[in-house]
Amino acid sequence: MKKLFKLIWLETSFLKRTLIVIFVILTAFSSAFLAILSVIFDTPKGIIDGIDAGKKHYFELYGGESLALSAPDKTADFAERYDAALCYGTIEGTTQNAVLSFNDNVFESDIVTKLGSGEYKLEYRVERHGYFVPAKYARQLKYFAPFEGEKGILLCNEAAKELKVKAGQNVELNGREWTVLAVFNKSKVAHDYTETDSVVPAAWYYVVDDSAGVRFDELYLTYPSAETTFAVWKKAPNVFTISKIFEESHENIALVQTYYGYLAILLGALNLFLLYVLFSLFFRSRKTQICRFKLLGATDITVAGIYLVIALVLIVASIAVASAFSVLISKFILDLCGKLFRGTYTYHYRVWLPFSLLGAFVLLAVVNFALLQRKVSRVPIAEEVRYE
Amino acid sequence: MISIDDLTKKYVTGKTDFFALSNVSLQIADGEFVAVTGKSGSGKSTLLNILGTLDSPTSGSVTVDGANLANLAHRQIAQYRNKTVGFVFQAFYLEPSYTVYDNVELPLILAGKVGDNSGKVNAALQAVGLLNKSSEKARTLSGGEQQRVAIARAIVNDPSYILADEPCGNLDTTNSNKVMEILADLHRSGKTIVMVTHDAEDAARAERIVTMSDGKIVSDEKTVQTHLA
Repeated sequence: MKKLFKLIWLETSFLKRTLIVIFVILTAFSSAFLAILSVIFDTPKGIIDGIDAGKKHYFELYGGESLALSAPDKTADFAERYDAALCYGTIEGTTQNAVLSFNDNVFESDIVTKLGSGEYKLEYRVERHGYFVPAKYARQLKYFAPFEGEKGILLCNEAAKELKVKAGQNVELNGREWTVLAVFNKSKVAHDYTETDSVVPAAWYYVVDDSAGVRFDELYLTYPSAETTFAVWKKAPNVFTISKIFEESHENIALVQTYYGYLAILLGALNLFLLYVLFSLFFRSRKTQICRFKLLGATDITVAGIYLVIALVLIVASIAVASAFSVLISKFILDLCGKLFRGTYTYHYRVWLPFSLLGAFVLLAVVNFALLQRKVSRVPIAEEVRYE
Repeated sequence: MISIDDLTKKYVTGKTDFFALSNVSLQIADGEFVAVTGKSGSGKSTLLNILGTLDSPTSGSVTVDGANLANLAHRQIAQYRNKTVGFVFQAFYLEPSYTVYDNVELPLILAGKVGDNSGKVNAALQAVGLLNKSSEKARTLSGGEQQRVAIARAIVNDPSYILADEPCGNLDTTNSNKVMEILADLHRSGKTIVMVTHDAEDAARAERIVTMSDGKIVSDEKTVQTHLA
């Protein structure tokens, strides 16, 4: 055993530079790999965990007398992460055409329930197409410019017919003049205008066909506990209430997962390449060296002991250091992912991963060495040393 | 004593057989300094490789100190390479990243001697005149120095036989002379030396010259020793 340690000590002394290279490569790839895994596994879970209807947030109607509603950027960012939601609104009087929209998120009135005298509950379905906007929507809607300025308003076809106005004309509602930006089929409102780029970012809008003289008491949206730091906005005269928001489905998550899946495959391929480099460093270039050792009287067992122990030590050390570094780098990568996909991704260190990598590496080391030994044993040492 | 009986080594290249050695028989007494010469491809290196168990014969036998090399187990072959013979090659085959000391100590470690080997290592380095270079990396040495380190490594385990394959092939005249003087000293100290060379001048320093051609021994004669006496 002492002999083995002494030989290992001699061998590893010249592997230091190699070791640094291995650390750097392994750290980089492992970090990226871990980060991608975190996003893939944690994002859906985080969204589902985030559903919490216990909090209220108030928003001021934009312009006071208008029917548009503004909200802080952070609120908008939060909503943008979701594919769909239900919004419950309580209003005095109602219209089924009520739509709440944020940029390319649309809260479309879906279900209207009369709660009592003059009180209705509106359930809004949020349609979100996010960053993966189907081109057809963009093409269809490019000529719309809803919510431009404070005068813009959308009217449903029934309201427009009743008021005898067309898109581009002005109409007086609630004691002020509006410009009709578009007339939409109320059953398709969400899809009719939501993809336009002209919607002001980071703002919520509530647009209503107000022909019935609807008045909204208040609006509040319910957000997960993680979003409780929003400022409570002062209620304006025309505020309305949405009592609950939660996700119903996560259409985009599957898409995001697909993208991350591709990235994971790419990184997996890179990791395989790394493995190839790694074991080339360890073994392939050592065929001649093994022969030299045998030339001087090393047995097969001694040679196997030297190289397998060296490989094991280097692999353990590499994975340990790489894992430590990858925590930091993964967080950085996740921050970037968060900015890219407008989300907040939390890094969760997976204990099983380094052990899995370790097991895989060791297995490969053993297999690689066995193949190498087989190759060496088939070629006379004389042949090997002759061509050095 | 080395006894080579009817040794044949055949290589199959395509559909034709090539005989690197063809029914070679040779006796080398203990303490002899034998030079094996011949043109390239004559089979002299193949003979040395089989002697060193670095290659195996197709037929025939090699007996060293009464032991038939073909009958040795793997562990015994390792011991044979480690203790019975010492190798010196044209290309040195040192571990370039090791120090001179580590290179010379390596056969001792492989022999299981992991204690303080400085006495034997330093003695071997002293014998080749490189004691002052023991802490330097092998790759930093000149060719002549590297070959002397290889000789020190070959003798550190005090083997009975030194097998040298073109030991001066990569060296200039000055370093060749130094290496040959070291081999002569080893011969004088009782080592049996089998040296493969194509250089007639180097071969003339041996006490016996075996000339090979086309895998066969074509002459085997004693030399008149003058300059090594």
